[in-house]
Amino acid sequence: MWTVLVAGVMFGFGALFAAVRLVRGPTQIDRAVALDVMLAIVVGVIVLTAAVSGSSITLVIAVVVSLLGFLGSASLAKLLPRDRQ
Amino acid sequence: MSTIDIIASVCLILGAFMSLLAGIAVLRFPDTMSRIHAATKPQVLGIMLLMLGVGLRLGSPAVIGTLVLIVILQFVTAPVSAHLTVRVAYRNAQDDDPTETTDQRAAADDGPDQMAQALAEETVTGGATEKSGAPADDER
Repeated sequence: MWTVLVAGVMFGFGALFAAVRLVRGPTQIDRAVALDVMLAIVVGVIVLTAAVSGSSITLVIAVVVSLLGFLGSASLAKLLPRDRQ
Repeated sequence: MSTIDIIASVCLILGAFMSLLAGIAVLRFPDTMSRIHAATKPQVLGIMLLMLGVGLRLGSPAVIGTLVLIVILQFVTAPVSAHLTVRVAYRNAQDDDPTETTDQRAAADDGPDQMAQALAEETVTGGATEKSGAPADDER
């Protein structure tokens, strides 16, 4: 099952780089963007889990997480203060 | 391993590769705009490739319905959230932009006519001559 291994390593490194930007990011908007990328990766991992196990019950969680990502990013863009750095 | 399994594996790996590219780009790109530009790649193309892979692998109608629902939700919500984020980033970033000659943000807030007028004025006068202190235009 080398497909899962390769895809999992790619997801892991993508989430790691996004986490580095999440810690380091100079503005709050950079952190919001990094969180958005990490949520997209979480949706990808859930879908990959469904593909591996062959059960479709986890796809509902992927729907919820994708809607949660939109809600979080939109509310962050609305509620972030207009900061200077 | 049949042909459909191979195609599904390729789709899954390409979708994961999109996520890896977005992680690298979010880490390495210099400013916020380009990071947002790169961050919208896995949300649309990566999710679509992953859903295609899972749909080819599982293939029952209920699963395909859920997958189409996720893809449609991502297609609707990803541009909206990216637009909201970019608007905040744009308004924060233009406060200290030395290359700015016309206040395009205020013109964009006024409306499309004023924005077109401001852009036309900037094209006529030219950014470089205005920056070098030509004393010609007293109208503005």
